[in-house]
Amino acid sequence: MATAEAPVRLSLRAGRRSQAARSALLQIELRRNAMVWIAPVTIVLFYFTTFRPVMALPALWGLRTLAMQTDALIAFGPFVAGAAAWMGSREGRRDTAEMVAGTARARWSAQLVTWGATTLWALASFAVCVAAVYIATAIQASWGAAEWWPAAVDAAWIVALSAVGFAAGAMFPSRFAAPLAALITAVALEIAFRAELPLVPLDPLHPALRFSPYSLALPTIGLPLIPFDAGIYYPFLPDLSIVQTMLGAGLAAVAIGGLGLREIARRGARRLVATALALTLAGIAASLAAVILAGGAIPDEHGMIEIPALHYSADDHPYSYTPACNAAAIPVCVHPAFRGELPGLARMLRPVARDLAGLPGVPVRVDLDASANNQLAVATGTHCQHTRNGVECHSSALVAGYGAGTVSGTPPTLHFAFDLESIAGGTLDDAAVQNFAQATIGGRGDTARAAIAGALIHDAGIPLGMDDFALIAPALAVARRFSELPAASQRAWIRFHWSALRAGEITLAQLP
Amino acid sequence: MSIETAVAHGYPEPRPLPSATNIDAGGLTRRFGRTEAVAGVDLCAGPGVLGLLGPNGAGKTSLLRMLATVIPPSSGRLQLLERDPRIHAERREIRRRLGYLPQNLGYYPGFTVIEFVEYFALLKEMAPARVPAAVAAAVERVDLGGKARARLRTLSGGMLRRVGIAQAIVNDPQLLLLDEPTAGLDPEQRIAFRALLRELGESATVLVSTHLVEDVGAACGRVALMESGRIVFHGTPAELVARGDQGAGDAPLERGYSAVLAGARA
Amino acid sequence: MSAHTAYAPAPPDSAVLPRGLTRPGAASRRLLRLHVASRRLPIALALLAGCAAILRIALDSHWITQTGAGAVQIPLALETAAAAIIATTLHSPIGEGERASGKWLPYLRLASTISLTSVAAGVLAVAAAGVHLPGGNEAIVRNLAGLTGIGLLAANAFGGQLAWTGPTAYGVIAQYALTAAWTTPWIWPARPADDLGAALYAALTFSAGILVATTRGARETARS
Repeated sequence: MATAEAPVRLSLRAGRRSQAARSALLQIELRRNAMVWIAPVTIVLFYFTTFRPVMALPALWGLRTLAMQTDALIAFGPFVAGAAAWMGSREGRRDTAEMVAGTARARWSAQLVTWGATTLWALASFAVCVAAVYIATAIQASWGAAEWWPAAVDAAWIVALSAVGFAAGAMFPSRFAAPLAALITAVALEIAFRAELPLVPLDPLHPALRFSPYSLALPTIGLPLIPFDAGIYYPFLPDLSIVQTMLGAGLAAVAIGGLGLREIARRGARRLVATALALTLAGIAASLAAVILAGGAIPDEHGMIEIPALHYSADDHPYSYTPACNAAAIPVCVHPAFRGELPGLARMLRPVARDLAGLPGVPVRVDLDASANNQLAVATGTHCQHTRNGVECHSSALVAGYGAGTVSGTPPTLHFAFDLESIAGGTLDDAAVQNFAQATIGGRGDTARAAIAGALIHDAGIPLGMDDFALIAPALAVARRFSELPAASQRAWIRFHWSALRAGEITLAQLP
Repeated sequence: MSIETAVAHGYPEPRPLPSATNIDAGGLTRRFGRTEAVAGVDLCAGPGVLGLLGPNGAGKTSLLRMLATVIPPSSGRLQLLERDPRIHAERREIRRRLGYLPQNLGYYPGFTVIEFVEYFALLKEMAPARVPAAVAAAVERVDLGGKARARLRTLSGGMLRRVGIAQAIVNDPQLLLLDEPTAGLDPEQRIAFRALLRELGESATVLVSTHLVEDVGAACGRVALMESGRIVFHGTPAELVARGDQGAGDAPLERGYSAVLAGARA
Repeated sequence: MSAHTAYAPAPPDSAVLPRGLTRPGAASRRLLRLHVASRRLPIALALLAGCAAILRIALDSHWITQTGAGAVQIPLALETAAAAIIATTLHSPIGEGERASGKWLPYLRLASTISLTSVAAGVLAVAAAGVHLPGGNEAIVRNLAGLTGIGLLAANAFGGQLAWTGPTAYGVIAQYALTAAWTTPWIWPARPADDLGAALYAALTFSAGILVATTRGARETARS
């Protein structure tokens, strides 16, 4: 027993010693790594190029994290690749290759420690930046949970860029290794960003976008391609993120494994060569699989990208939610993710609701739902929106570029579909009050009603002439005059003449 | 000059070779393209200090690099520490017991002295528990204790050379290969270094390649002289001195050196 | 053969001796050629040609839009690469021995950096010949000059081999500035090609970089 145990114990001791030695080497490499002083540069760049623009977006998890995915990589990628190439070329630049070659530890093993330290620093500084985005979003977001896939994609690609840069520096330890690694990365990311964008954006004549598998498998997602409602009404589809992570991990494995294959020329241990070979082959397989899977990508009806081979059908079911409503004369209800818009909406609607609440035909409630327009909807002239029951599409005329509002149900409720871009652009409130006025008072083809509607919208803060009722000069003057009346007088007049106004029996001259 | 006279002048007395053979090379050859840098070297060495002399381009560095297992021989037989460096596992064992200081010393400017020596101690797979004490001892042995925490970029050329020696001896090597180890050292440091060599040579095989014949005379028990890739002399310093009757030079060893070279070239 | 003659050094092979240095200007040309070789300028020229090739491919593949931020981003990335390559050539592999050699080094640095910048601007302009590049050659020259100035300043601050960090950091900020529509003339790539203020700032930066590169060269450690 003792004899059989002895080799095991020796092997365990050797293993632990090897682990301790690696750990000690790693500590030295961590202390003396170029990424130590490059990390603050990347953090500062991240603040300007990623954190600030991402924070300017609505506090929606899917939108912010997907936007962060591209911007963070453009801030980090070149510097990580450059620093890694700098560290990889260290032995060549410093003439220590001979000394290292004469030591017992395999050169690839020593290089792995150096690369590991570089990558750890890169990931640590990235983690600090990501944490800032996630914490800020967690504080501001009113619905949903953090989407971690974009951060995972970025982490995989930081590892990949570090690996490729390191391998390039180790194989070509020239003075140009680090700058070329950095700038080829910058140019490649920029081209990938460009190549991702559809050549014919949202052209109704070309409803089916053609996705290039190469560009999709890359981690750079152009902002126009990011669906604003990612993860709000339907689960965030991780299909594309999985593929992008696979490609990043595959490239990292190929780069590091390829570096290890040089042990063949150095007559290295068979186990080491086998490990390097296995890593390289696994990396090639993962990368090819990623591109092949991306080639099967299709846009789903919610604007996210689905990869059938990876798709999980449970992701097709909408999230159930209880709308968030404000307490007002005419309450506004939105998806909880947009709860932050309620104060602004209430403020804009207050003057209009004050004058119209309780009148026959006036909605007792406003339900705002996000537009779900996709390629097919645009191509067929329909209009789709998210509701608690899923996506509903119907034909309706657009109201001056905003979604159409329809009044339905008993008691009447105004359903208004808004474009999510209006949140980012700060035009949601304007759109809501204009839609409300159009749906309740109307005004197309009736200058009297248009003048009243324009006056009420003006009370809400939208300048006359900037509304969508195309008021001509006489109606404009009347609207201004009506708007200058005291609120009580406005209310009294509207209530007295409501039925006639709605029936189109009031002329412009009859308005006060 | 006779051997007896040489010994009377202070050169080490010839001693028979010890029994352990740490270097056993036969017909060792190394070619770089069409150039034969090492052309059939036979060399046996056990514990002790062996000086390797020769003019520029004689093949000393190439021989040292083969002994350090950095490059493989093109042909010939080579056993180091009674192991075959062609077999990976044995080569690894050799390297654990090897110390090597190349002619062009590279270093990492941002590392401290301790870190640099520690780095190589770990690369040589020393037991981690032994490393701190071994590093401290190595740094003290080269008299850099006061600069242990200094960054390498702040050191003079001579100090850097001593750092290189420290990393070579940190693992108490059984085979120590030093290429121009005293380049840049001041006379006092060279004297101390020779004493260190003698001390190390009591239990290890130390091979010192140098142009400084006085280092060889002071520290080496045996001398090998290379010319055009071959060893043209292998003996004691006293024996080399004894060959120097017709040689050029200011010192007996120089005369012996030049005489042997002249004979080899004739 | 006596012991003394045994050590008479063999005469150098006459084939390897430099010839014709007695002709007027031959020494200067030879010096310039050796300086160029020491700085790996031929490789730098090849890399600059590579940048131009990528620009041409980008133009032909319609990756570069005609308006908006996309019109400038890829050309800017390539101009940044070119500037980093130029700045990296400032690194001296020789170190102090060269600095102590005499009066010609500043002139050599000046000649090589100005020549490389001109060549870089030229090849990028040629790459865009016959195709509409937003901003045109004026934008190329302005952006490249300013970025090169930053690279040369970075070379003096951090060393020639780390000079790429300066243009790269500036390039990343400029990319963001394009999308955020910054208007400060310090981010000259975000300004129109004919903007005088931006051109002035770029020219100032280039001049500062040239001055520092010429008089002080790249930063060297004690034993780089």
